[in-house]
Amino acid sequence: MNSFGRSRLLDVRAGEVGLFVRVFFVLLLTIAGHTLLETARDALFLTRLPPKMLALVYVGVAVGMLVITPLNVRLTRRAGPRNALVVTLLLTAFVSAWFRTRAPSSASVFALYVFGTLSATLLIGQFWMLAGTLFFAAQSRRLFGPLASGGVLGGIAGGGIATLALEVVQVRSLLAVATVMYFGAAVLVSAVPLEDASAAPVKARTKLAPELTKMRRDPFLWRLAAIAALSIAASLVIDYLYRAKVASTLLPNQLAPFFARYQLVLNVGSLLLQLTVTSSIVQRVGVLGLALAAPTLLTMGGALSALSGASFGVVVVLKAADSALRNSLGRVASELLWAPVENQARGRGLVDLLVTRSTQALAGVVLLGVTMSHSPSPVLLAICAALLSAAWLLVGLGLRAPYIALFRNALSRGSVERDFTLGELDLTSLEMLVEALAKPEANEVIAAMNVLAERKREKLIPALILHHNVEGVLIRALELFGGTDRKDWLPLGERLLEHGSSRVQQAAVRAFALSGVSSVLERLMEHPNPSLRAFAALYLAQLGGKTLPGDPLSWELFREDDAEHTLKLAFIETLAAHPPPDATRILLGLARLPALIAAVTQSLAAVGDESSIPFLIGRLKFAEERLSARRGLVRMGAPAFAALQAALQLETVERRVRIHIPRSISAFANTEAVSLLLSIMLGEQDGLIRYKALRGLGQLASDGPVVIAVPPILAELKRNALEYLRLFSARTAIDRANSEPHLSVRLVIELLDDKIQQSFDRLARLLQIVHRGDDIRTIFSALGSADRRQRGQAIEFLDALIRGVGRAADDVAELLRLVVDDLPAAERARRAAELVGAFNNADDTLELLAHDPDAILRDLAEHAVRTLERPRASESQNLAELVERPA
Amino acid sequence: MTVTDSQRVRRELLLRSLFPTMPEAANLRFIDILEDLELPVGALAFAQGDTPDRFLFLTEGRVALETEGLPSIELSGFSVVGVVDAVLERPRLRACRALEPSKAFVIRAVDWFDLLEDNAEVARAAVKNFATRSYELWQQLVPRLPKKSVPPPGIAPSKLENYDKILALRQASFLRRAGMQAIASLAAIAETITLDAGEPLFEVGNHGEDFFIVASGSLELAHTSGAHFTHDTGDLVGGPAAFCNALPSFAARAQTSAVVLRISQQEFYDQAEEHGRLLRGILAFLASELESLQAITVA
Repeated sequence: MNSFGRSRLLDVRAGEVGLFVRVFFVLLLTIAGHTLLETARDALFLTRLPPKMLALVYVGVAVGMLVITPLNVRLTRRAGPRNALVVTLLLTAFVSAWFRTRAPSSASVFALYVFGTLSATLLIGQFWMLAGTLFFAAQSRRLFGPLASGGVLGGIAGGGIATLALEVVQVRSLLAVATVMYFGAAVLVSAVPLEDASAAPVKARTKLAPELTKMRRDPFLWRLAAIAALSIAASLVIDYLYRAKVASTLLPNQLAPFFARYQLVLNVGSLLLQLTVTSSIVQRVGVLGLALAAPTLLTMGGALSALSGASFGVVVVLKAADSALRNSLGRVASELLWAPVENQARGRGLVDLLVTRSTQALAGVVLLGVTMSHSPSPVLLAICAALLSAAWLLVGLGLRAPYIALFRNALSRGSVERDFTLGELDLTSLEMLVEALAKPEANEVIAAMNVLAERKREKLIPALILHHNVEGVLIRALELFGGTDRKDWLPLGERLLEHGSSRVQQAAVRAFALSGVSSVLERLMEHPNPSLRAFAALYLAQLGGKTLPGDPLSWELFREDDAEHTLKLAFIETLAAHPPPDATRILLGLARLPALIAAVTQSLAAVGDESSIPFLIGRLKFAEERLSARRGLVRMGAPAFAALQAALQLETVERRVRIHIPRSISAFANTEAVSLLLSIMLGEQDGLIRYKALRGLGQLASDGPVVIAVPPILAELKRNALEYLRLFSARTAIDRANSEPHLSVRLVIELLDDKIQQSFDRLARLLQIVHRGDDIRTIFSALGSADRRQRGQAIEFLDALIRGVGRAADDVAELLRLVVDDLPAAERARRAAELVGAFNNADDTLELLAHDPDAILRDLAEHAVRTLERPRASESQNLAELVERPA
Repeated sequence: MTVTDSQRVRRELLLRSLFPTMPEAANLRFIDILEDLELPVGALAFAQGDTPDRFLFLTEGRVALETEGLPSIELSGFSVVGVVDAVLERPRLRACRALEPSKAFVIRAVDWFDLLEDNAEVARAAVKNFATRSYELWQQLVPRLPKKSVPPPGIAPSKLENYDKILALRQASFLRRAGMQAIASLAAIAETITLDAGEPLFEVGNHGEDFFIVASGSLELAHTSGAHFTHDTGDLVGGPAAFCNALPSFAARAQTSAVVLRISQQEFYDQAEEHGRLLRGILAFLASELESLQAITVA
């Protein structure tokens, strides 16, 4: 798969540039200020205090956060994320300036350390919360990576300034420069537009206990909380290990220049990481893959540190990796993971307040306890870091399902689990049906009888229903009673032989015949009605097993038949109920009369004789007979399945039949059917037959638990996505050059539109097969929504849904992103060029399409080319790519 | 959502009462894709401007379709509500408000179209149902209707090669939403009939098993009731009547020299099975015809 690297590096679109630049520089200045403050802080701290005091700092920071976080949450709710950030930046600027004026003492450097950490945590959190409200989910995916580069550039700026400044000024002076940076960021952020209504501050106060319960029950939130806890614990251990190592290795006067250079190198490294890896990783591995990057690398780094005996160089690299990942991949992953969470501010506040800070305090207390008694071994600390990172990785691995569920909920459709099986009738249902049998409306009575019959509960239909005064009810009841072993209806049925309606009379005769009550039929031979006598004779002959040789259409029995072929139709039906050995021969003989074919099909389906398979396959082309024929074929099982498979391969079988074979195969609903349908979908030449195979698979996927292999579906998804992009690019090229196209060109455009929509629809159907629990069609509808936020969520949902099945799935996800992206058409076509070839201009494109394997497209394009009045190209370089066609 | 057994039985009872001829397989699928909806008095089933992604089968109660400046349309008993917008794929023109406590089944438009695509019999029944309703209304309103259709702009081809047939069918109002693939496929099976002025196309009592589309010229359609109507380029002769087997009650004769395309109904519906958009396009045509006739009734 080709990448779209060039354009993915910075994908800021029209309308986003101003806001992006402003927000970018806010982060740059904030992080530059923090880097300066941090350099001063670290150098002053380790110069004046021993490393073991770091444990106390961690506790202090945790306690400080427990106090500040509720204030921060309240501030954010009341003022909104933007104003909260302005306030915090200004406060940080003033306090930094205050520390600049104070002479360094043990107490002040301790306080500076705590303050520096607290302010950085608050500022970064507030910044990303603001960014989360300014950009919706799909924008976040594109923009958060480049945005995070602003932070890295700020780190480089801060580190660079610190390195240069320390040549001429004291460490404390860095705080003055930091103050200027914070102030500048505050001014800049105040110009950012206010968040929209949906992100407005929440006024309602919420109680802690219910929120905690909610978090515990939410599989996604508790995982995020666990990740926050494990990542902060790992980070603290790494930080302690690093600082202890630095303090024990370097002289006090080497500390400030080391930290300044460290910051510079770290941020340059981070920037390179950001520019070369982050953006493409976000696009390629998706949010969930990204979330696993940091714990994976830290687990490996921790293990390497332990194995190296915690050597200075490896520990510094481990710390640098932690810092770099935290501010790039880790930060972006965290923001993207939080993006779909409803009431994000509340959830994050809770995680920050309770989980992160509690863990921080706990880790600090543990470290403090350990350092009070003895200095912990660096190797042991490295092992701890590796174990904590591994646990973080494990929790991260379980994020996928709840993450997808979040988008599902956000798209308000929920999971549509369909149960198409007919269950046993419960008591309520039976009461309802029996009640319906007594309704005055004949249609309702018939409906109730049908429902009972389909559930094999026709015995619940009382024989007394034969007292009903509506003809339709009587006929349906007789149809259902005939052929059963019930005897209770016989006296009432006999009474109906004298009914005023000839249809009821015939139905009664038929019911007696189907039940094999020959005594009544013999009595009927004396009936004054010649039609009934003929019926009785016919049935008696059939019941008596008399041989009926010759052409059935010329039988004496049918001499009295009317123009509607009532006798023949009745006979056909009885043959199905009591088939003699030569039933199929007789039925096929009768089928020569067109008016009887549908009835014959129905009877042959019921008889289930294998010799009728070719006839039934032939009837698939007729809509009215298709279901009966299909039912009959399924009933015959393996021989019919094999015959269908063979018919598909035969060119002599007419296309009108072949196109209905895939759905007939799907009616078998077994693994062989799935396998055959997959091979048809991938290998059949006729596009409609491939499409019908796809529909058949879709039906099987929605109906039951049949296992459908994912790789062929992914392959087909890929083909369809490429076909979509090819047609879309062609259409864009033609459209771009023709504001008022010639009629012949317009026809090509209309056809392309048609086919583009078709590819899009097929993509949805294919995805539905893979993800049968989700309502993919609705998600695809959301892709066309006018609401950008909903559209963005739909894109993210699809991306998250597809990824994670394997490399092929990730490739498909990448293709699908281009299919559904809301980039301008020309830009999408440009990006698709690497995959489907370039369509340079309208004339060349029409020339290309004039060679298309699709006959309709080829014909229309040829016609359009003739209107171009220019020499025809003899060969097309893109032609090879146009041969393979999706379902 | 899982359909409980009693819900299923209730739906089966209702659907089997309403659509007794629907094949069992289609009925079962239909039952499973419905959702229950209860509307208290004053509640909106949908608002004006909403996406028409679903429609209702009103089973109990009474609802009104409302819009500003026009009289409301009240529906009660068993009614299909909101299907026209869904078929025409346009935002809701009217809001649907419950006038009394009402119950309905909701079906998503995509599921309904899938059901039609999967089941040709049900699809034909749906087409026939729309057509019959339009035709019945047309019969009531025929004295108030203009006697002549408005021909679409565009060329009237004289020599009908396949490409010209595509152009002719593309002008046909009933194929406006059918999509170019379907139109091209229909062009391939369409047969050209050339008529001189005064020459009959068909007489009363014809078998009514073909569709006729006017490619050029004009035809006069005469009903046994005495009503007359003139068809121009792009018209389907008989309009909705052609879709509900009512053509045998008409005679058609060329007013000027004319070219007509004939497509057998069987072949037409075969193409509709191949091209989902063709079926949707026919339904959209019939729905818009019905709507314009209903607008005359309301006015």
